[in-house]
Amino acid sequence: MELNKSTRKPYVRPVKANWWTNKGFYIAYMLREGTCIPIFLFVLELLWAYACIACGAASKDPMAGLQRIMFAKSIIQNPLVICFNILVLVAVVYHAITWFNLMPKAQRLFIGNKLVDGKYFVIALYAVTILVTIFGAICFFSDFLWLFLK
Amino acid sequence: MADKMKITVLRYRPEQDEQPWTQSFEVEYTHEMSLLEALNVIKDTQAPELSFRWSCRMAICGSCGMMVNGTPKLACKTFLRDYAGQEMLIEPLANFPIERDLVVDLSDFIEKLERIKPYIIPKEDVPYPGERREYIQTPKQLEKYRQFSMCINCGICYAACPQYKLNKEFIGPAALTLLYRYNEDSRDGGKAERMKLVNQDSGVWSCTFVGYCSQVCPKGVDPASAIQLGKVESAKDYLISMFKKEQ
Amino acid sequence: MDIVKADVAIVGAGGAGLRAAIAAAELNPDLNVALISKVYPMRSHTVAAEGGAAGVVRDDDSLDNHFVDTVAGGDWLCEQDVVEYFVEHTTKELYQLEHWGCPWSRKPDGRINVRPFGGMKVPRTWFAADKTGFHMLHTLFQTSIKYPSIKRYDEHFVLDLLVEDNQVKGVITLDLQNGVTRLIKAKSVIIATGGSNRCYRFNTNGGIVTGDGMALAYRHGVPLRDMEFVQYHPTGLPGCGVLMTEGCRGEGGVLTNKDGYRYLQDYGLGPETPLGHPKSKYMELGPRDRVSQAFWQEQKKGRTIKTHLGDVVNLDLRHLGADYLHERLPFICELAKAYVGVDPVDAPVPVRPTVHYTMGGIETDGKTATKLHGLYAAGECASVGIHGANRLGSNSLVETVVFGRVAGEEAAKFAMENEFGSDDVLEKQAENSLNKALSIIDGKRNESVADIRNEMGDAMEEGIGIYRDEESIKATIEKLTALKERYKNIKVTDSSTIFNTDWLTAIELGFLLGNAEAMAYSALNRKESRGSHQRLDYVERNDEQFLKHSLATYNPDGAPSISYSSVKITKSQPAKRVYGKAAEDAEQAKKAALAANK
Repeated sequence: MELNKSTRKPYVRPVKANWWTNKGFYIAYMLREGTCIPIFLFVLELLWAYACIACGAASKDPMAGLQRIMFAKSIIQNPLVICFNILVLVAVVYHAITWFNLMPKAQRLFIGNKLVDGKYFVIALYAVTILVTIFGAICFFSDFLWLFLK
Repeated sequence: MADKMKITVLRYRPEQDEQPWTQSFEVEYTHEMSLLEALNVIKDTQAPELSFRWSCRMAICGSCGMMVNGTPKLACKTFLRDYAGQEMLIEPLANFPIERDLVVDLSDFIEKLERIKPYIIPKEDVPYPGERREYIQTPKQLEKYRQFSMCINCGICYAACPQYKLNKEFIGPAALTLLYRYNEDSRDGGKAERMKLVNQDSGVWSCTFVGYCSQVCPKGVDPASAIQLGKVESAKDYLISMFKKEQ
Repeated sequence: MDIVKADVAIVGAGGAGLRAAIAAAELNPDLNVALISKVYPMRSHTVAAEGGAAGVVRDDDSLDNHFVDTVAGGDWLCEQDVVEYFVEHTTKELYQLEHWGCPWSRKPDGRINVRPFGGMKVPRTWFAADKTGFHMLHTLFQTSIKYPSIKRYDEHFVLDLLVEDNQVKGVITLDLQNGVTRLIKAKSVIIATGGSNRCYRFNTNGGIVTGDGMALAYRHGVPLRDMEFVQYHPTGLPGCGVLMTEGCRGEGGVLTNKDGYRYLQDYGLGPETPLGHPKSKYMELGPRDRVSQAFWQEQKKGRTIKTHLGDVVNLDLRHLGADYLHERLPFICELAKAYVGVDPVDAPVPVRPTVHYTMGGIETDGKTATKLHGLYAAGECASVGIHGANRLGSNSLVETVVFGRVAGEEAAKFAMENEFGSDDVLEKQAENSLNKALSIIDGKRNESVADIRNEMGDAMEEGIGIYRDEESIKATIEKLTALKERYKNIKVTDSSTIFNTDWLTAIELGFLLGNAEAMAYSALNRKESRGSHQRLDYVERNDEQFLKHSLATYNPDGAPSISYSSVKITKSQPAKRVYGKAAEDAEQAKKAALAANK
């Protein structure tokens, strides 16, 4: 037995590119991180459409300007783009859910000597989200309502 | 009640093997049998050369962390009954070099624990209470760090952390948690020194909040929380330093 | 062979070893301290201590109370001058741990809180929920990192002590991870390796608690003192033996038999105290030896509960309520759920007595020095003289820090006045020790380590259990002798140098067998009943013949020789050891007698 010189030979397991595919938790995490791609594309879409409308409205030639706006409208109303937008909505909701669930880890609140259970944070976040959504919906639909009445 | 379990173990003998290989064993088990007991049965009766660390058998010494069907767990707190009808694949803790069989090289982790100055650095403005007096610490002040002082240094959170998998410079969950524990202790005055480590690239910002460390922690320590709270502190630190420079 | 030098070498890095290292480093920062452990320090078994550590803090308590509780608890086999020193220094050491960051449980005003424990007149057990040992160990380990003069040798197994001219001069170690031998030369050596309860099959201890340090000192002629006194903790989980802290009873938990009857009242610990109102020294707060003995008696009467994991009684905590249990005993709840599938909030926990602590150990003087020059011992491995025939719960955790510090300082002073040994002598010795250790690696032999270990454990339970008699002890001795013979033919197939646990467990088994023999022969020769040593054939305490320490001295060719040394008595003369109402009556009588004399 050789005890004067170390025969140590630690084995370092290689990291494969698909390391995250064998565990649900990691897949969920990669999906969460992956939501940034559709959201990024959606922001591009939004910016492009806005630019079209803005340029069209500011155009010296009203006909050309209108055409430009109509073109942007046709793209946005394209079923493929609508499908993409729904996908983006799903991604945003998914991302929001994962962040809401993680939120209690980043914020702690003491009432008296006791730490407040994180689930109350999550409930509060959902409550705020629902309230804001309702408020937005009221604003949106009241606009419609006003138009309709007129 | 003698059910049988097939347990496959990843073996690696540095003097003989170029890379790890698997070996399967069959163990009869009772309702109470832990994986650690099963491994000891295997060692006693089938494979005396199988090496693994263990001691307390009660989930407090932190020796027996290993991968069970891909999930890092303490062998002493994993029960065969929970895998009835399945097989078990036991591997050494992920993300650490394999020293031999189920024994991994923890020296990197230990060095990180040492690096973060895990001891009370007395506050300058709080007088020493004397040999026979305590620092007053209210239950609330205790509660602020108590959870983060529960870490048993088993290394399971490092095996769960994809960031540590990809970047061994990352100080990692347990060490950053211990760091936060001392920063939050009302008796400690070493926060400024430790924040330098927190703010580094290898500090809290290497964490992308996967959160799996907290999921697998056998003691409910929640390292992910300590790191996110560390990020808040680090951000504050950054803002304050910007403000100071302007002055 | 790799040779390194250290002024002080410490073997074992649990509570006592770490405290010793810090003490040596603080006494003289110029000294090099080698802290050697076969595991990473935080794996040491101090980590598993749950309940707490004793230190007088309450206004209604006194050092004298702690002294009297300890000496009476030890059935007057304590070194009383050492106990005096001990009780004077416990609180200071616990405050020291507080200053180092130990998260002691607090009262609402931010001061230290204490809980009652068995055999204690006034509550004085400091606690960090029910993970006191864990927090103490981690605090000490983390604090030790602050001292640059402490160099750790983690996962280094000490194969032998190196001795020159009757003075210890270092240790020969095996670096488990690198697979190399390392000779650590030292001017003084401290042994802090913990107990030897793995001699028994059914125990609360970790796999590492194999009495290595005791065996090493023993083999170098240092006697093992009072080894017959082995503590059975009354409340271990059946099957695995995992500990349910005495804090359970300190907080108000009760023990009931199969009829739901609180049987302790039948064994001199009564009368029954109201549920949820534990009373010091009554009922469930009796000392461990008595409570464990009561279980044995109940079992004989057929009043224990039969389960597939053996006979048990119930530890009922339900009346404490979920909130209180989760605050004070969270670990207990976790352990009971995991290992016996019982949530203490909803159901009583099945428990039975389990081997827990070695009261005896390496004989030292009051300052931890052994007979071998330069060798010190502290913690469970040592017999410094505070536990006597039965240790009080929460005295051992604080012992590790009180006497760990003493050992560190004494060894440091010794190192400052002494020189290193000579290279050639030590190297030759190291070579011999290594060859001896290597000689047990042989895959062609046929005795299984596991069989011998299990048979030893069973024989110890059977012959040297809660109650013993000459016949049972002799049977165990016979068995041990046979096992020692079989051990020579032990099969060790693994010849790897890296993490060779096959080899290590075989070496540890050799240590255990020697220690078990010391226990057995000490028990055979003590023909009386005292504390945890209860003889069915000698049921009374016999102060005339046996108010003495047993000393087991190693004999390489056979049985240890047993001799005796005197017990230091300062202010507490041996008296009848009583608890419950009998204790109050005795105290009244004593007061009346004193008053009459005046």
